[in-house]
Order: sequence, then structure tokens, then C-alpha cells
Amino acid sequence: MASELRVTTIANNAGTESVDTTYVINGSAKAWGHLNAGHDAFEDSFGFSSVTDNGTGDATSTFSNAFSNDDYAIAAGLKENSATNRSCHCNASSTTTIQMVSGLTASNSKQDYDSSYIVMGDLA
Amino acid sequence: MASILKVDELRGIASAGDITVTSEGGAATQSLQQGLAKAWIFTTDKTAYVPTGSFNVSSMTDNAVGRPETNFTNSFNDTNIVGSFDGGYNRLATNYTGDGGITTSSFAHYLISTASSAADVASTGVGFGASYLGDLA
Repeated sequence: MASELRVTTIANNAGTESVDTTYVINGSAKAWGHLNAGHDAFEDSFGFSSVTDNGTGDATSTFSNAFSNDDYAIAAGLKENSATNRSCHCNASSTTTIQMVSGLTASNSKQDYDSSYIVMGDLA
Repeated sequence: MASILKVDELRGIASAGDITVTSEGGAATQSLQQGLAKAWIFTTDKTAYVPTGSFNVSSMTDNAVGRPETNFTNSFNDTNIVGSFDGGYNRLATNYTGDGGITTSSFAHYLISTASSAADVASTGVGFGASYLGDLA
């Protein structure tokens, strides 16, 4: 049977450590994903329902639950065994329901990369 | 009225590892455990990478210049660990390396300069920070 607990603060039993529940909810990642080297599927993810491959170095990932606005924060990192400068980004055309991501070479050409994304923000 | 719940451990009823929280806007529910960072590390030691603040990190290993490796206290369930990092000015990417790569118990970083070479964080007043998300074992 499902149950719901409504509290303002969660503390350990000794009362020596506590956190306001707003930090638990606002401070939790709403989505994260490990995109494969083909840049077209998640190896593992949370909060994403699908990925669409738009071409080399260009993908659209869809959130399972919509954000309340498009001001969410994204941390992205590559998983490439090379000292060559490369990067991955979330594009400005992202919305409350989709995240547009690109992999870029040192010369800013789109390229598929094994990459990771963490999304923080407010869900609708 | 403010209320405080004092517990040492939270568990789901139907599944011990699944507790749901309601979204900020109230339109959705989502797993609490899945959204939590499982480990984080910060260090101002930019050469030996001795942690100055951390959670679920037992130690860091300095594999080579620009190649710090984080060792976790509690292991992940698989190697699909999502990591993000900040190495301050002039560092653009973090990659796994041949010096351990990503295992369930460690995450090796590869700090790269804009000149495309492995390099430790060099800027004054900044350190190395990273967070890791995924499923714990």
C-alpha cells in the first residue's frame, strides 16, 4: 500500500544532522544519462524516456517528466580516452520537454561521443 | 506547522530502494534514490589530489599529470556512472583513461588543457570538484 509522509525536515535519529526537505527535492537531479559512443542511445539513464539521433554529433533526448521552465542546469562530460580537446553541450533550442545535445571536436565540428549529462531544475 | 522526521534510514515499502517524491510543481512523481548524487569530491590539492571535502569517497589516486582517479567507499552497481567535474579555468573535458577507466569502485579522470595535453589544474584559487550519479550496488 502506498503511503505519503509530509515533513519539513529530515534528521538523523540523534538529531545531529538534518536537512530541510526542500533541499532533498530541489537538490536532487531530475535526469541523468550516459549516452553511448554512437550518441544515439542511453547506456543507463534516469528521467529520460527516449533519444532521437538527428545525425552525427546531434541528438534529442526527451524527459520523462516535463520541467516547469527551460532554465534547468546541465553538467555534461565526455568519456573519451584522448588528450585532444573535445566537448559536449546542451543547445539553446532545448525546451521543458527535450534536451538538444551536441558533441563537438576541437574545431567545433559535430561528432558522436560517449558522454554524460546531469540535469538539475524544477519539474512541472 | 513545521515538522521534523528523525530517522537513521529511509526505505520504500514496496521496494526498499524506491522512495518517490513529488515534483516542485506537483505534476509528477519521481524516484528519490535515482536523483541523488552518490558521491562527490572537492580538493584544492591540484597535484596529489588529496580530498579536502568528499562524500562516499575513500581516496583519490594520482595516476599521472592530469589524471586523478576517485575511489568510492560504496561501489556502484555497474560502470554506467555519470560524472561531471570542474577543474577551473582552461580545462574543457574529463575523460576516462587507460589508467583504470571507469570501474564500479573508481572513476579515472583525464584533465585536458586547451592545448590538447594532459594537465593538472593550474589556476590560482580553484580546485578540482566532481559529482557522480548512477545506481549503487
